[in-house]
Order: sequence, then C-alpha cells, then structure tokens
Amino acid sequence: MLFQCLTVEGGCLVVLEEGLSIEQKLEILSDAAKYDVACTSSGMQREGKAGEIGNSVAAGICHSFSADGRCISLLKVLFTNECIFDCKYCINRSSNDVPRASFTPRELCELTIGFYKRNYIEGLFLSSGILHTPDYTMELICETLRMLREEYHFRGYIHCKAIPGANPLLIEYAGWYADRMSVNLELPTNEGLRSLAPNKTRKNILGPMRQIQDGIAESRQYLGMKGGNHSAFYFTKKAATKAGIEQRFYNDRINGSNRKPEGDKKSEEPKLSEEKKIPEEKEKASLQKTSNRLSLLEQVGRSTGRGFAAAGQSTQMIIGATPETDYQLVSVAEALYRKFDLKRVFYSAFVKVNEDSLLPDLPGGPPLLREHRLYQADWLMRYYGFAAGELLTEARPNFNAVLDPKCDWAVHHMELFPVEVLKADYFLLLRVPGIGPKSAKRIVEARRSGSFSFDDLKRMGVVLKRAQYFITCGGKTLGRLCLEETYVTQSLILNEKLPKNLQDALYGRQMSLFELPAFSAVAG
Amino acid sequence: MQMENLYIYRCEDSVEGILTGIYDAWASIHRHEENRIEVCGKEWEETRLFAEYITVIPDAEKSEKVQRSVRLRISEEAYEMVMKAILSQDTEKGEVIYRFLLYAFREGARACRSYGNPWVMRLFEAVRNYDNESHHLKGFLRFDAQENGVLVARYAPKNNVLGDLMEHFSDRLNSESFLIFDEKRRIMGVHQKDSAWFIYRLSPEEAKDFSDTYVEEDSYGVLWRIFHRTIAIADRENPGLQRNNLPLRFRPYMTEFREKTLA
Ligand code: SF4
Repeated sequence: MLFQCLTVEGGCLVVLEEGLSIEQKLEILSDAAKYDVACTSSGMQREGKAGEIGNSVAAGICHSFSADGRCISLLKVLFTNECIFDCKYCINRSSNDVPRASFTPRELCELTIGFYKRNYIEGLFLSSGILHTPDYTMELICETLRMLREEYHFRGYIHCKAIPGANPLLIEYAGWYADRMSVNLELPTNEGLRSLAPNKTRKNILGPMRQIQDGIAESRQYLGMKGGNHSAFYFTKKAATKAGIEQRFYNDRINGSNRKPEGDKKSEEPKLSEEKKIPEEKEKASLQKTSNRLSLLEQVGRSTGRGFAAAGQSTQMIIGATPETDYQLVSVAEALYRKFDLKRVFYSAFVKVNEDSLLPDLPGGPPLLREHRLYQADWLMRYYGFAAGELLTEARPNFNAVLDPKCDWAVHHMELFPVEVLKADYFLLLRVPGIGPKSAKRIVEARRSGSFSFDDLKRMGVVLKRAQYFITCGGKTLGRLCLEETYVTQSLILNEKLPKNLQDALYGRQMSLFELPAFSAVAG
Repeated sequence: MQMENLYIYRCEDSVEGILTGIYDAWASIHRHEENRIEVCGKEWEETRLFAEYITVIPDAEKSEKVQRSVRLRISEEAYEMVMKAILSQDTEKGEVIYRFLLYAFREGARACRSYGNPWVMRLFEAVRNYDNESHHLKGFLRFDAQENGVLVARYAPKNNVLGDLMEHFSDRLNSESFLIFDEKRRIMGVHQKDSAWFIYRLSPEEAKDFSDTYVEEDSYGVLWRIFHRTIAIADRENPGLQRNNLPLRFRPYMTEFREKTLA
C-alpha cells in the first residue's frame, strides 16, 4: 500500500508511506506497541567495554513512567504495524483501517542509540506485526539486532519477540543477539486462540518457546551462568522442595482433602498438557539438529560471550478477552514456569480497541483489579513457593476481589498460626501476610545476634498491620491476638492497600464491603 | 534538667570532616556518652548550656586511619555503609556513624545485620535512602547533547550520589564525554571520552557560566516526548501511580516533562 491516510490533529493528510517522517513513524509504531506489557530490562549483568556503548544492570532500571503509571525502561516499538494476520483483539489486525508504517533497520538503530546516550532508555524492546511473511519480518528484525550489536557495538539490553511461524533458524539467530526473547501465548486456551487469533496455533507458539528454552540451556552449558540462568520460579521451587514446604502446606483444607500436588498434576495444568501430545522428544531432537547445523554458538556466542537470550524468556497472556477462570490462568502460568523455565509470565488486562462481535464488552473498563490479583499470585508462585493449587481450586476458581491472594490463603489456614518469628524458618515466615522475602531474610539474619521487638520488625520492613494477626514475637502478641477467621478477614480487608484506581474499580463493580459474607457474619 | 557535660564535635559535611570528628571524639579523654558529633548544616543548632563545642579541623590522615580500621576490624560492608551514610541526607549522620562504630568495633562484622540495634537501623535507613535515590537517578537522569557532542546532565539530589552516578555512567558511556552537574552542591562530575572521571567543585561564577552556555534540547528530545506520550494507555490513565513511581521533584530536569511541543 503506497498511500496512507494519516490522521494528524485537525485533519486528514495524505502521505506517501516512504515519506513518513521519523516522528510520524515513531508515533505510529510506539502507539501500536503500547499494549505489550513486558517493559523490563532485568536479568542481565554486563559491564561496559572500551570502544563500545552500553552495559546492563541485573536489577533493571526504570527510566520513566508514562501517564498510566507504568514503567518505561525500553524503547518499546513495533518494527512494522503492517500485518497479514487478523487477531480479533489487536489494533494492527489486517482488517483494521489504521495508518501503517515500518522502520528501516538503520532508523531503529539510530533511535535506539540516540535515546540510549541521553539516558532515556535501557535498550530496545522490539516486537512486530507481520509484513509479507513471518520469515520476511523476522529477517528484518534479525538484521536490526545484528547491526545494533555489530555495527553500533551496543551492549545495552535487547528484548526481542519471536514471530510465530518464522523459521527456527531465524529465531536461533535473533537469540544470539538478544538478551531476552519472548513469544506471546496471547490466550490461555486453545479454544480462545482458535476464536480470536485464527492465524495462530498453539504449536507455532509453543514450538519457538521450546526452541528458546533449549537454546538457553545449551548456552548455559557452554558459558555457565553467563549463558543464561534459571528462573526465580526454578530456584524458589528448588529451595522450597528442599525445605519440604509441599508436605507442610499443601493440604487443601478448603476442600477437606489432603492431596499432594503430584497427584493433582492433570487438573493443575489443564491446557498445556494437551500440547504434550506433540511428541515432545521428537520435536526437541529435530530442533537440536537445526541448532547444530547452524552452530551460531560457535560464531556469535563464543566470540562475544553474550549467550543465547541469557536474560531468559517471557510470555504474555491477555486477561478477560476469553472466559477463563483465574484458576485456569494461574495453572497455565505455573505449567509454563515449570515446563519452559520462563523468567516471567505477564498478564495484560484486555483493552477493547476493536468492535467485534467475538469480543466481550467491558463496561467497567479493562479488568485491572483482576490483573493486579494475578500479578500478586504470580509473585507468590515465583518467590514464596506457593503452588497454583494452593491459591485457587476448581471449586474456588477466582481470586477474592477484596483480599489479596496471600491474606486469602492465610485466613483459610488459621491452624498454622500464630508463627513465632524468633523461631520459624524462612519459608514459614514467608507465609505470614505482611512478611516478604526481604523482611523474612532480615529476620533470619537479625536472629543470629539476639532477639528483637515488634518495633524492630517494623523497621525490618514487616507490615504489622497485616502480620499482627499471625505472629508472636518472643511469645508476645501485638495487642489482642484473635485467631478467629471472620474477625481476621474483616481486619485485613480494612487494611488492604490497593492502588487508588483499583479501589475505584472495586467500587465500580458495585461491591459493598458490608455485603461480604465475612461482614454479615460479624454483624449478625 | 541535664547536668552532665557534653562535648560537641562540629564537623564539616565531608568524608574527612566527619571521620576526623569521630577520630577526635574517640581519642579524647571524655567518656563516649559525653561526646556528640554534629555535622554542620547551613546554620548551627542553638547552643546548649552545659556543652562544650569543639570545632573539628578536617585531617586527611585521621580520616584514613578511621577508614582503615573500619575495613580491617569490622568489614568491607561496614565500610561501604559508613561511606554512603556520610554522603546521605541524614542530618544526624555524624552521631549515627559514631554510635554505630562504637557498637560495631565491639561486635565485629555481624553488627551490620543487627537490626535490633537502633543505631544500626538508623545507619541502615540512611544507606537505604541513599541507595534508593541513586538507583532512581540512574534511570531518571537526562543528558542533553551539546553542539560539540558532549552530553550534559543537571540535577539536584537529596543525597550526594554523584560518585555513584559517575561510576555507573563512565562504564556505560565510556566512549562519550559527559558532565553531570549537581546544582544544589555546585559540584560537577567530569568524564572525558575513554578516560577516568573526577569530581570538581565550581565557583559561583563558573556555575553561572555553565548555566548560561548550556543548551537544553536537541531533536531527540522531541522524539522522546512523542514516545513518552504515545506509549501510555489512555484507558489506564493513572496520574497518582505515575507520581508514586516518579516523584515530582525529579521532573523539572527530565526531558519528557518539558513543555516544548512539536516544532
Ligand atoms: S499477528 Fe495478530 S497480534 Fe500480532 S500484530 Fe498481527 S494481528 Fe496483531
């Protein structure tokens, strides 16, 4: 398409596509990229080098925050918003009449370096619509990354999306230049994908995901930790298993059964297990062959020591476009963490940008509160050693709107409390609402040089407003310790600190605190 | 009414000043409980009746000695905490460090983790505040490219984090020449392409010269503002969250919050 109708404030302007200014392109291609959530630059530590530009900081750095309050860390743009596919939820779908633009690899490199020097960004997050074919697009992306690394000597952070359906060789290629790779799962179930993203299949999403996982494993084998570390989920799981927490906590008291997670595997990962039917071993073997044939490891990996997507892999799911329960979502996320060793699963509250009979209406706006709860649960799975099946069950498939998942878990397990903070081990401390990994670690450390008080706990970062119902400190309690579930629930709800806009979302849903069972029980 | 005598060591707000104060207090014949370390701010606190004021003369050798014994007798970690606390905005940092050292020389390396001790906690808080601001600024600092290609940043931090920033940016931008100017303290970090960095204190005249010649924008500023505006999702607009994450005090120096519009 040569001519584009580009709407500029105050009118319609016909512009020759090739004639788009860099400002116009940036506007179109960042606008089209804004629904992607993973703007993080973490997981990669790389020092600068004389004659090159950039380094990377493992903790990640936020450079700005946009008007929606989200962190801006990377130059997040699409390479092109042309697309041959027609995903219902996507602003760039082929059936939409929107202004289209594409960068050239050179333009994108100049932008990245120009922004980076001025300290606007940590690096580049490159995603794309599909121009002509997946391979054609992926090749342009690879060329951009190659130029950045080899011509511009850029040592900053690069996150690259793999285009579903692109040749595995191209994905392999990109992986050696990028710090992080991701493939969007988009929708948690096969049915969802079929109805809303008819051009995509589970196979060409999970295929590259597996390939990237294998690439990272291979690179770790050759380069050690520098080649790509395991995920937080992996390490937490390992430590938690060692500490035996599954035996201790995984008693599903809500259902009154004592099943162990092992026995529950099938229902835990309902959708992904289907995919296992693609003969996984065979698939792995064939990928192994392609990567051996290409052996970019020798060419790029060895010489730069950069590793293959060494900051790991992530993915993203859209929340609320299809009718899954929270339980399904966290189960899918858990399965992804376990099977693909992903660094992060991101959730993106569905924003309705297209009119389409297949898309749900969102009278209350995007499901932000739900997204918030899912992230809280995600945190619990990655750093606290919670299993998806502990947080939700088929019988109780959605998160409590008024109580965060950890408090919700705790009030259903009052028999484990109170916990004595001077004695309890790390993972037990982590189960206490108001105690996080940092404060739990500090408690364990501080204990070595003597005892402490509630005031000290507060200084160590413990949120006493929440923790007080669940702990003793040197045998003492803070105020009256009432372990009665209804009372504790009520107090926690009153103390829950939700971001302001989510409070509005909560009330927007016409939910009155006093209609909740906990309250009526107290009032009665 | 307080009857015991106090000996108050008034130090200059610098590594040498504060550590010399601590050295002198330590070496004095008074009991530790009778000593106080005060770091001078803009004006002196009101004078106390039963107190003797000692003006500390910064001494490089004494300061070195304190640093060495902290590293050897406590730990590298303690050393780093003390140095950061000195650069922090805590107005009672001299006293905090003095009390911390008293405790830590007795307890050894584990003192740094004894969060039950109020002085350790105070030190820890000062360091955390310093670290947080330093981390923020690694992201929020903005450079403007000058016509000669030099990148220039201005800012006015609460804690004196210039050393941290110079360390960070000289690694990251080692092939660029750049300056970072702390307008509050009138100190400037200077990095020459491919060489070591240093910090320089500007006279008021030099500072004025600097501001007069400074060029606050190039074409990338416009592009950055386009990006910053476009990347926000209107349906999720949330200025409160934005303000929590990016406090207003940083914004006057940030390119994306300048009022200029598309030329
Ligand atoms: S492939 Fe689907 S989601 Fe991606 S840009 Fe095209 S239409 Fe949008």
